[in-house]
Amino acid sequence: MQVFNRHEQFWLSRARRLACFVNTVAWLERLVPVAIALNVLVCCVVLYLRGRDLSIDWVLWCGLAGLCVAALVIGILVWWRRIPLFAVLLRIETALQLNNQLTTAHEGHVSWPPPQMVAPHLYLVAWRRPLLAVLFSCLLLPLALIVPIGFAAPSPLAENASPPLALAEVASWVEQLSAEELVEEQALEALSEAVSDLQNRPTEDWYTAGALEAAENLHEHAANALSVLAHELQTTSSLLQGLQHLPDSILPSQMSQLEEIYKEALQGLESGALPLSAEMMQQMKQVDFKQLASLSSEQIRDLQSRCELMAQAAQGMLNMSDEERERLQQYYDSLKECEGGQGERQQTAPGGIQRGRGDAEMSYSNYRSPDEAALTEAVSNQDLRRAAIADTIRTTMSNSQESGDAFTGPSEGGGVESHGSGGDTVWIDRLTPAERKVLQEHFK
Amino acid sequence: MEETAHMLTEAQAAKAANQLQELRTAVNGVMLGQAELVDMVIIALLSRGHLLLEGLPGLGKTEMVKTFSAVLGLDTGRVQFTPDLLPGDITGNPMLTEEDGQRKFVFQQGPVFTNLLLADEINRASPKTQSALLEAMQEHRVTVAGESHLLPRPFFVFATQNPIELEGTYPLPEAQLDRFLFKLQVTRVAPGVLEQIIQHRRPGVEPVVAQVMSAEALTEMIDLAGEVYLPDLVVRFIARLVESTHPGELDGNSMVKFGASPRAAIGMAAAGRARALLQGRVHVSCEDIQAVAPHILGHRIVLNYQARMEGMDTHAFVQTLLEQVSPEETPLPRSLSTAKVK
Repeated sequence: MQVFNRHEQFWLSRARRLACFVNTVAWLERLVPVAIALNVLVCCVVLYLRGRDLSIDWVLWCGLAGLCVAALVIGILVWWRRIPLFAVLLRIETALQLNNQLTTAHEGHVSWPPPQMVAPHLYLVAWRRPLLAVLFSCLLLPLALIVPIGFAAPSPLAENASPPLALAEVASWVEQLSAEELVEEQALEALSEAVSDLQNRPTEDWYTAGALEAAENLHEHAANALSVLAHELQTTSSLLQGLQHLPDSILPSQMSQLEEIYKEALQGLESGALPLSAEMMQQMKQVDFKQLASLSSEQIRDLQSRCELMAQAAQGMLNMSDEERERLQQYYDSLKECEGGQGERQQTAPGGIQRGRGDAEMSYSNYRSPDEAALTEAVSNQDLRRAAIADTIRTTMSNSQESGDAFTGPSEGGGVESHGSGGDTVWIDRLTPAERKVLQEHFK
Repeated sequence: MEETAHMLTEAQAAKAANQLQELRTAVNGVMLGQAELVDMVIIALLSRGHLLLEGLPGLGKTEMVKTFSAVLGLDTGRVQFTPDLLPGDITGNPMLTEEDGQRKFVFQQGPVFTNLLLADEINRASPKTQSALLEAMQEHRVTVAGESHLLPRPFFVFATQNPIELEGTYPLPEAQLDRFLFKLQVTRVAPGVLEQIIQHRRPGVEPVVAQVMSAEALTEMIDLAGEVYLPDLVVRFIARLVESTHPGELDGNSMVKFGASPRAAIGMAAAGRARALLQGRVHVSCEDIQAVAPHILGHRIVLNYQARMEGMDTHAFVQTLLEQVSPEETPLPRSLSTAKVK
């Protein structure tokens, strides 16, 4: 009986050893994708940290710890999830041609056979593919460690950056306009939104060419709008001041002319890029030149002083010197003068009175022609440096499109030089030789 | 536990193997060069199975049956199947007889009432006559005129058929084929064996064969074979093997029209037991099943038209099946799945 026990122990020990081997292979095979993914992840982290010039020691320690944990887990799983001993016994008895004697003995129906030498490799393992995959992924780690990489040092500008001056100035205008309640809220919000868009960009992008250009444009646009607003307010203020000292002998036609100027100024205040606030606008619209008696001189003075204050506030925001103010005045005047084609004001629009409505060529226009998108009509005559060639040069076709054989009309003396050859064209030019021959035969 | 009480001991198995070895030697002494065929016939006998022997004329099919009849001392009947053979010519007929002045029908037993029936060229008889054997083969009895008559025990049918000269023959229906445990191909012997046959045999002179085993001893052997232990592993292997013969069960068997029946699985287990006993083992192994499977499954599987057009036969199909269906059930890791036993 002891002999049989020894036989049993022999075969079972061999079977357990083989089962462990199979389990190890099975779990290693399952962990191959995990190992590859872990390697790639560690490499990515190492590259990232090296790019940021941070310490990578902890990553390597973590990777090492991960490997230890994986080895421990594999060990536990190999011990726990072993393939059935029965299956391994079957493999051994098949290899040794024992006619299922081991499995039957394991069930207790026959005696265990005497020990035999078990071939060392009952299971052939295809190690190459998984091992190569793991090795290649492991090679990535040293590569990630030694590959030269230039880390991006944080820009000193990005840390203590302040927005461009133009943008900061527009932002301060927005704040002041908001405090003064000078312009309409909607327009102010639009301007504020444009400022925020530029300010909310990353600080690294503040001083890029595009951002600077955008800030400059915004500054120019806002400054122009403010200056127009200041000018119109100043005009209105002057008119209101004049109203206070109006002589009694003023003619109705002069009165209506003043009224026209006043309305125009109001229209400018209302339709500008930064329109006047609705409350102020309402008060100013109440001024009726035909019923000046309805307004007391106090009310007009009050209105005039408010206009004056607002105009000063707007000009104060612009912080213009006298020279700049003069230049702006010239610019404003030029705008008014160049609104050609209308002929409403003192100067006749360029092109003469018979030219009809519309802007003269190469003159200022507030609108761009939708028909000629490539043409820049807003180019002024004074500055042609930025104009495209097609804007300044025009070519015309001098040759006539008419054919030499075309009817030239009646000649002197009532005779004709040509009877026309319209029908012949069909015969001569439109038919193939074969078709022409058939038609000629038919009409013979 | 009940099964353990009737289990065959190793001593009994060894003794039976010795007796069967004597039987094997005696038959091989006559049937020269047909050792494997002889083994399969012995396995069929121990499994209580019927045999269908197929081969060209003159290869020793009838001689094989006669030899087994002689060495086992079995009562043998022979029927030469012809197209005009009637069922009653096999089973027997009720004959009108007069006894003590009274006339009555008395059943006259046919040639089927024997231990070993040789149905020579069975495919030449009409299906009606062929089907007369169905009940006899399966239930070991014959019913004539509403009266059943038990056949003697043991009862075996050894049928032969000729694979050529198929004109005027009636291929055995599937139901009939399924009742044959084995379909064995009788092939030519090697040239060296043929020389021995030429030296030892004379035309018209029957070889003298001594009886080595009685019918009772054979019955005892059959009972012993039934006590051979059939491990669960082998049972599962048989089930998987038979199941895989059906269409759609495996990748390669899209050419199968009909697979093997449960009767084939039962026959396989019985044949496995018989083979184990023949080798002196007390348990069946998967190798036993792999050895007998081609002869059991070959005539039970029906291939479809496409397979026939491609020239595939059932033997090749079963060989493929045996390569695909492994006794090992536990799936191995992919890295190990290609491992082959050295």
